[in-house]
Amino acid sequence: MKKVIKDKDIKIKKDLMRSLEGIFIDTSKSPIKKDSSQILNELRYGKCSC
Amino acid sequence: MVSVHAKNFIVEDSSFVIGIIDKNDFFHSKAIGILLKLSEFNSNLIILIPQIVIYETVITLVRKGINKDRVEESIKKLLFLDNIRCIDVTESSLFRFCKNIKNNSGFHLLKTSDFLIASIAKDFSAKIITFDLQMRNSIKSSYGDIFCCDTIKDIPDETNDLLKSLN
Repeated sequence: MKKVIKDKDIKIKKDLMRSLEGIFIDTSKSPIKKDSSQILNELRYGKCSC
Repeated sequence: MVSVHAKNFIVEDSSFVIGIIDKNDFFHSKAIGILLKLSEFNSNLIILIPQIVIYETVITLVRKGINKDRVEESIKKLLFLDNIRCIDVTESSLFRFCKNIKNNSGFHLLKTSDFLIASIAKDFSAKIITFDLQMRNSIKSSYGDIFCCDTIKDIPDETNDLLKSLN
């Protein structure tokens, strides 16, 4: 019973990872060198809060 | 429409959504790890993404130099995932949220985005997950169910506290 649940969990995670692939954006080639988190902080607080 | 049968509701902050989408963001692997952990709850857990979080995510990624259409495509796919819902602020919810504004509640001291996110979370008795320590500290005194999911400055990673609090 436990193994069936574990196998089901693994399948759910694999399906989720497959769905997430199309969601990810590779920002490594962006000319903006700031981290997205830094940009969000600037948007929210006017300056980097890190 | 959000299922009322779920036992747990999570509100994702923009820092978390950006962490999921941006493969190169500092918090990316942490965000994905948490999302996978949350998926174990299946239909017992609904993730809510407020409209303002969508706006902040789009603006941040466009400022990062990413094409707007690509960002929108990514967000649409995210919202199509099972158990993830976008939350609109409607006229009726807005007036309900305004009831949170009392002098001693702390809600009146919040920035607009923090106020909306905290109010939506309060409406659903949801836990807020974020990587924004400043936001976590601002909201914490008025709405305690907010968790900073990485060790930032002097605040330890609260992911385990979050997971333990879920049914």
